[in-house]
Amino acid sequence: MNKTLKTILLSAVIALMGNAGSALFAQGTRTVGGTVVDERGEPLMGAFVLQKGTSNGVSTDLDGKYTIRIPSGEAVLEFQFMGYITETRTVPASQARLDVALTPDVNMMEEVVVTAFATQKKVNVTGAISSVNGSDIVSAPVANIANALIGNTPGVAGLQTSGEPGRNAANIYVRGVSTYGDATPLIIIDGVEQASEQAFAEFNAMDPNEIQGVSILKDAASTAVYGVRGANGVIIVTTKKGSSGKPVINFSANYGLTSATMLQEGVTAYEYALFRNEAIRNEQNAYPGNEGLSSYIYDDYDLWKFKNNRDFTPQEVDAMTGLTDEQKEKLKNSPALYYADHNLYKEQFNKVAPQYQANLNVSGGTDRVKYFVSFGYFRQEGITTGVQYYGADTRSLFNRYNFRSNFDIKITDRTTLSINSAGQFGETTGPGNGADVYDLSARYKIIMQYIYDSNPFISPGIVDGHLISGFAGIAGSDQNPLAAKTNSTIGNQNAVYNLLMSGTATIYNSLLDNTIKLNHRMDYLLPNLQSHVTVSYQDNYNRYVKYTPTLPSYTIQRNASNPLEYDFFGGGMGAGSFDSWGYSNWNKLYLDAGFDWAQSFGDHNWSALLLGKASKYTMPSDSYHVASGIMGFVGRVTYNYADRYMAEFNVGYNGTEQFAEGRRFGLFPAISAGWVPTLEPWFPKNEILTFAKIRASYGEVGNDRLGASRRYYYLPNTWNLNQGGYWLGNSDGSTQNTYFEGAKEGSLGNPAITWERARKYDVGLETKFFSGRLSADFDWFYERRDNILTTLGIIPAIYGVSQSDVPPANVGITTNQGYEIVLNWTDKIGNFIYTLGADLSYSRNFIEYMAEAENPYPWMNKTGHMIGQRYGLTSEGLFNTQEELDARPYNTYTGNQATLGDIRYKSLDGDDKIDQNDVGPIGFPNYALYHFNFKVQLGYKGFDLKMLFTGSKDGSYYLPSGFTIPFFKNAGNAWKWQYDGRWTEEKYLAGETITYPRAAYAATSSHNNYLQSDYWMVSSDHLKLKNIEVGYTFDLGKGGRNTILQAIRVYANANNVFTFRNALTPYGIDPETTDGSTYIYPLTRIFMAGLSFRF
Amino acid sequence: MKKTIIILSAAILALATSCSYFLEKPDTTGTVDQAAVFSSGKNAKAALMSCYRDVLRHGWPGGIGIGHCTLGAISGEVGRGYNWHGSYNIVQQGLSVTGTDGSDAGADNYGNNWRFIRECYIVYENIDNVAELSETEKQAIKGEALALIAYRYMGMFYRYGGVPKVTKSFEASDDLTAGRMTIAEMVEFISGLCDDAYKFLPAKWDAANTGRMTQGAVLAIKARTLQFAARPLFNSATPYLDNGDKNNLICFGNYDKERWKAAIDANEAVLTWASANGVTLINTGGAGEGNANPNAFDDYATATSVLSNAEIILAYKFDDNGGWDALVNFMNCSRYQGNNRYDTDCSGVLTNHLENYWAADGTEMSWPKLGDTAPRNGSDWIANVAKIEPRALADIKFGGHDSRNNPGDYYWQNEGWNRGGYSADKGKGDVFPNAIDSDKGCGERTKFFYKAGSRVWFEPPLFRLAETYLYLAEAYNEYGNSSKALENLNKVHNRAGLPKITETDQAKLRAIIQRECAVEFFQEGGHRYYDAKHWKLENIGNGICGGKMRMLQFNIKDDDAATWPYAASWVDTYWDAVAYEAFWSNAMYLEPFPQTEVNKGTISQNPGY
Repeated sequence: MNKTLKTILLSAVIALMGNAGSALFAQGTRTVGGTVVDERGEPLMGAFVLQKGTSNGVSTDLDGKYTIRIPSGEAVLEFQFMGYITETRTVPASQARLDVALTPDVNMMEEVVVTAFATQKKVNVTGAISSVNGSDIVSAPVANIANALIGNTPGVAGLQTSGEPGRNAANIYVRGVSTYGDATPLIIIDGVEQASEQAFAEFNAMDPNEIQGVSILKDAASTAVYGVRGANGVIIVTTKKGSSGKPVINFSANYGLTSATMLQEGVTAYEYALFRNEAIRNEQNAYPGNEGLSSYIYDDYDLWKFKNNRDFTPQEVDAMTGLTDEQKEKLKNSPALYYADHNLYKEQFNKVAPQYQANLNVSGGTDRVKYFVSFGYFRQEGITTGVQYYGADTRSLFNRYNFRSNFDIKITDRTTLSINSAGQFGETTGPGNGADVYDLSARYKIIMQYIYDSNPFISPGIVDGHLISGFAGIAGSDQNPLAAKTNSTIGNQNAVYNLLMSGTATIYNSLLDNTIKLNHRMDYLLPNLQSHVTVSYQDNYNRYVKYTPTLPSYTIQRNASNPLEYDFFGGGMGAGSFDSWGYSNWNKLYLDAGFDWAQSFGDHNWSALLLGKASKYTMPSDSYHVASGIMGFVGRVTYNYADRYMAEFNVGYNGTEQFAEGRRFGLFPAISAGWVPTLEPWFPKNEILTFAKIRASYGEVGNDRLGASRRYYYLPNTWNLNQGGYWLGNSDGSTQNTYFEGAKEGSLGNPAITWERARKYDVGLETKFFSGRLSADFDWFYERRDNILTTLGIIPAIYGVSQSDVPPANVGITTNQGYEIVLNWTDKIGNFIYTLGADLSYSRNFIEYMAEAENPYPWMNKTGHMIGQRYGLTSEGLFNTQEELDARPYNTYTGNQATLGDIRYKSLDGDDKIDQNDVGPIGFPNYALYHFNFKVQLGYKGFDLKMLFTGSKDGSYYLPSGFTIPFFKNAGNAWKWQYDGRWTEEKYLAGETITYPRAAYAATSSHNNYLQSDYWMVSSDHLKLKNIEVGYTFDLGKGGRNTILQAIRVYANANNVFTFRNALTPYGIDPETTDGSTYIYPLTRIFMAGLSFRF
Repeated sequence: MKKTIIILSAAILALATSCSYFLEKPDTTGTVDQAAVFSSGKNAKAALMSCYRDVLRHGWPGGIGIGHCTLGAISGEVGRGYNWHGSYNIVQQGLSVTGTDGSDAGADNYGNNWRFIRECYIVYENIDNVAELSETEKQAIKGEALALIAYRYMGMFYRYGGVPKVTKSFEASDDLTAGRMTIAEMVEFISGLCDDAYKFLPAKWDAANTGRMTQGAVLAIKARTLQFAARPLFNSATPYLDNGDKNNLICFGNYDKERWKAAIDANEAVLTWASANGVTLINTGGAGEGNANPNAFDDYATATSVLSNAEIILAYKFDDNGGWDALVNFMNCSRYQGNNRYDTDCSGVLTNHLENYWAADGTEMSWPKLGDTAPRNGSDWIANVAKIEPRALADIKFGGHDSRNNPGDYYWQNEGWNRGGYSADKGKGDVFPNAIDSDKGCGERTKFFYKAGSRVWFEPPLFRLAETYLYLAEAYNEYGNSSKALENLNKVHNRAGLPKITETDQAKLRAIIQRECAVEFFQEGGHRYYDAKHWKLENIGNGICGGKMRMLQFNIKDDDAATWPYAASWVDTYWDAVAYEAFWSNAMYLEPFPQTEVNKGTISQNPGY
């Protein structure tokens, strides 16, 4: 594949280079030059000067100067600059100099926004839509588009479950979460809906260099046309297209390094021993019957050895016979084998791994054919790469090749054809170990379990090039002095050993997306009537293979007669094993066809759209999969009067196969209106408030995603045959009796099942001040979701159907409301251009009804609380004194076992026991309520700098028991923050800060201290320098110089650069991590440097 | 313009007509609905087989709510299990309304009862639709469905007291708000189900159909129901805890001696059926009425272990040989390192139970006691094992000894699977009087596996004629007829090789009968768990369900020749020690309903939860 791609790439480049510039300079030419300045006379760099009606154009240089070659004779030039009104000037044949001053477009009359099935002038938009430029996405050197969106637009945020290459996409939401059903937004790529089963498959694997821009559709006015799939917001990606002109070739390549943003800090071996001794003594002091634990106490000799990293005390060495004095001296300085100190977490993850990215794209075209072709390569290696042994591949690796070609062909004057083809070829590799390649938590458990279950000294790792599986000596002997004392019920587990032996599993993925659009102008029927047809076919193929090497492994001991030497036993090696786990593939066909029309009657501007669409998703590789289909109709009428008054009516009429015939289709209307008072004739022209628009929308949108577990809820009942059966007969046991199969009732359906409905309200205000230098936008929204498919918690058990099979009903109700504020200041001082931006998004949801049976106390209910709210006991510090301990309420979870230094819980219902009635909401949901971003952009001559800060507030992270319980299964690991923050009576009396209960030995999650409670809820509020980019551009084509290489840019960028200290810092957890799992592949930061060339 | 509209409309119409096809669920083979199941004899019978499989598991591992445990682990028979076992949690904190380890509350899965009853009603209601079954077959299947419902209701009766009355398979739109029946209504309802089932069922099935419900089985269901109705927990003027105006959900509200008479009649009916159908208490020794049976070991072992033996009224014929089922994993200790170590490892037999066994000659055993000033000698251990009654030898593989149940079989030897299987450790003499190990006790369980060898599955006896005799003994004693009580008691006692009991004092005899039940039904379903509660045993919180749980501790001679697994001859000293303390509160006489169920507002919780 690699080779083929390179060949394609090379031949394409040659073909395009061959065409370059052939059309130009054919006739007699002349040169026109001049300066382009802004309204204040400052030169405008990068303004575009175009010979009207041709593809001949140049840009202005740093001083605003341009030189353009045009044919002899009179010509018409256009001067364009973003945010300014385009000027058109005629240059007489004799004139060689033309200076132009552009005026700012304070009303954004030129700015356009991609909306559903259209591109609208921003001034006319009445829905809540925000957009992100392709260049901002390129600036974030991350593997996934979802991650690049975070921070770049208000109303979109997410959390990441993993930092592993190929598996590190964030789960993003638009305006938070509005349903306890499926809250995944709809993704549209170049007008084509992505299958909800594979919402992010193509999106996240796109090359950022292909992307022109991304629009986020948030309110009902902008999403209603997507009807039954629009309720969770819509993300529209638009790829780049060619424009007529000579070919522009961009090439960029960058290289960088990734490392973990945060790492959990383990205790040292010495601290571990002290901590564990303390834990055992705590148990013995608190509870009788623990006398036997004394044999697990590390004695003073052990402690000395741990502290000094030696296996023998000097006295022990001196007492040895058969060693020379020189050997003894050497032994005294020999680092420990048995008492060694490994920081297992860091040994596995504290590595730096490379990342590369390259992109070549060519765009250009003629009047008839316009093209954009892009080839991309991306490679990210995992931070476990550094562990090496016998060629065992322990790294995670993500390799991706991207290809995209967008051709727009004008077939006749009326008909254009667009052919978009894209290919994504990915290779995701990582430690495998037999787990389901898609089950991240199971994979990470395998990779990481022994980091948690073992301790700093139990596994020596690789010694003198030997992979050690354990100590050879008999437990308790001099050759294995700690095994018995450590009392591990897990045994000699070894994280490195396990990582190395886990094999390498690879998913090869290829996704092809071909879209053809035919556009036909039907002005013979009606002026400005157009019809268009889109056909898109996506095909995805996955194949998984796994290679498990056999590696020589050894047990080790110090030689009994000469402890300076190590004895290794083992080392046998078999053949590696190769598994192919088959393949899977899916494909999706999408069709749409429609008409649109736009016409102005004086100041009255009308437009209309009517469209039908359908798509079908299938998984041919899965014989159990039944194709899913969705179809719908879209209607839109817009009206505006002189760009001052706007009104829009949008409607979607959609059906999905999720519902019974006769109930499949739903109507989703939305209305919206806008008013631009600053364009009113009566509005005083002023320099302060230069633009204002007020808009409002209301509409209904749907969600047909009823949860992934089941489909066809509408089918009345199903029975399963060949179920577990029974045996009949009078066998005496020498053989089994005769077996009879069983049959059982399966899921019960509800023919009345229907879509979830969102009623959305949005009010927006867009303003510009000081001639557009300051912009301030504000949106307020309120959404009420009803008909949420809900398992009825109120059906009594005597119904006799298990909860998962009870027919669900559309009864749930939630609300979500919030706001977004965006501020932007752009100005330039001479050549110094800068932008400062800030935005803030807030969304808070609330479960109004979910058919939950009423609990004895309101705090126990989910109803009335937020989606994703965690529940647990409420802590009130620790038991610091015997009086506090004696006065405690009876804890039914622990049989009331508690001692000094344990967590003290509050009885919420005020009775004298801690039971389920005291379990209430704790902390905030994991997904924060507030998200905010700050942006700084500077440009000075060739220099540019971009910085993005992101942050969140009112979110919580729950520390799972793997983090909080030390000495799990007797010999498990412990963390530095536990050791440093632990309660002891001395520390309490000395008034020291205590952040962790007393040390406990071999506790489980039902131990008093590890019950789910707010003690382990940590705020995820944080501020991060998320992205930074610095660049310098050498403008070689300056002054119309006729060079092939137009510009070179040198740049460096970084992602997840720096996280300011926050509540999660001591635990070594990145605040953007999804909580809930003990086994987390740490999130990464990336530093890149690159070059890009424009030809 | 007109033309445009026509074209547009035509295009949209074309799209719209293709809709229904486009969104239709394709016809997939393999899905069947209820009508299809009950149009075929094979499938309808399959539905009945699922009922058997589900309903009859009640009280046995896999048929209770807790994922990991036998009910004996929470009623003083065996150890509490690993700390991730449900039984461990219950021992630690008692039964709770939120459940533990798979249960939705207490030690049960309340919802499962109703799911299984629904299965049975669906069969009962639909079997008439199956054209290809004969009328006789349909009648029998109806009887079986009703009998299975009665069996499950019986289980709920002694677990919860009154529960809602369900007489059909519900539709979602039905009124599901039925409250709990009173104790009296429960007895009436279950008896009614039994009476109805009796009319449909054959007295006995042919060999090929052995295992299906018979008239005898429904008589036994009724007899056990009436037995529990007569016992002190329900048959009382005041309940175990005051439940306000709902006392009648947890007790009758009066003591009525005639309830014992009803129990006697019901159990005598079982005996009558048994003698007419060849079901008999196995006693092959020929020693005659009132004399100790010389073949006691084989007879008791046969009655509890051999499949389809003459003593069985109804067994749970779950012959899954997969080796991974909970029944196998929790009951069969043979494959220690094979597959079930984590289910049986910490389930050693408690001294609390061991003390119930008699010596083989009918005298009391002498075991080490808490508070002994010195541990006993290892030879005393060997002597005690040699002296104990045959039932103990069939029930337990004593520490350091091979199992008597399967002599010579590696699966059951002390050496087998490197198990050891008792609380023994070398050179731990100084740990006295504490516990060396609080998991394994005096040995492992071997009941139900007499001559099973490497067969790991078994057929749990649900009703065995010994139960009927012991129920009669209990009922006659309570009714004031000690001679009939002794006659029935001694049937079982003599069969176990023990000399006859002659005690006639009602209270003393009661204690003896209760002790006999504890021994005879060790680990058998939830006998001990339910019996102890319904007898309201005085010491229930002090060594039965709650209180100090004791295990024998074995110190092995500190000799290099003694290697794990230690043979009994290496026992240096042994003593009794508290392994752990179990939680008990009076609320636990009956199980709690799940909090989530109580929240729905249709049933009231049992008191104390």
